[in-house]
Amino acid sequence: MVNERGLVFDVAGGKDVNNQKVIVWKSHKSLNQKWIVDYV
Amino acid sequence: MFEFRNNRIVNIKNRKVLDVAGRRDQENRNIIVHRSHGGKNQMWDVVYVDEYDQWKSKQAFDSGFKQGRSFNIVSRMNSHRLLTLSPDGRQFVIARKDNSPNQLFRYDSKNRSILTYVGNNAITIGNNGRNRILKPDSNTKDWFKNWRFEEDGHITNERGTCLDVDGRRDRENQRVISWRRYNHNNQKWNIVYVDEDTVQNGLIANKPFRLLSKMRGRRALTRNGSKIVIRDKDNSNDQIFVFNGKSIQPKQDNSLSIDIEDYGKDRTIMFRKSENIWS
Repeated sequence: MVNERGLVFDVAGGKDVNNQKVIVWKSHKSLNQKWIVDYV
Repeated sequence: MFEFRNNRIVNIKNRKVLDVAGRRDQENRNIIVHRSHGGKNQMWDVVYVDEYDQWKSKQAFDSGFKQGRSFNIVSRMNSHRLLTLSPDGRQFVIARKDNSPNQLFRYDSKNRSILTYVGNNAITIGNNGRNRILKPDSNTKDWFKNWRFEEDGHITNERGTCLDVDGRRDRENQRVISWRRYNHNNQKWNIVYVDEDTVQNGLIANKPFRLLSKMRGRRALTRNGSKIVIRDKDNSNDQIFVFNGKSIQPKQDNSLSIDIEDYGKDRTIMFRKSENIWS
């Protein structure tokens, strides 16, 4: 998920735990910046 | 007694033919017999039931489009911008390729219409064909929703107008209208068939979704008041979002959008009453 400035949604600190904040960050292509769009 | 000759169904005795009354291509229109005048409302295909699929494909081919494939419609003007459903979903413009589903179309050979990938609506001439504005509208057989791709690049209808970049202006978000042919590049297009997977990285407008992290827990992006966190996937509406063509919004509240704090200088994202552009 990227905006026009190239910032992406990033799970802060790469911590895969409940209630972990999501922030924006420069893309470094790690899993904490990758997302699956799950249409419902 | 009738015979089938030159695509007409002819009464052997009086030579009259089956005729769609008033030449109107409408649902439930009466069929009458009339003297032959060569009009399309007197021409028929006999389609044997087991050959229907084959016939349907041929119809699509005759229209210049391939059935069942998604495509971009690319202007032949210098910048080669793509026909695009505008983000507000009300009109058609040209825009640079962005892999969004708003630039994808499909052809419906049954109604002879070009359908938007987003919303599955037909490219339609406004006011039932009486003006020049193009808009997305329900998919029906009306003439002002029928299009054919000609070998010379025009996308025309039976009344002789075609898709036209308004004012010949090759610029971003220039409106596309229906206009009479005058053989200029602003009326010529290429059809580029694409794999629908190429738009998987774009968001489909107005279709609700969850965002699941690719980390091992596959947790879902979740609205927590105005804050945004990850949580185990559940059935709550706090995990369902909609992309409106520009911004990501909670499905339940389209007055809010995901926004970067401090006018984009911060790292924190929140839900606020403003828009930020994501793809």
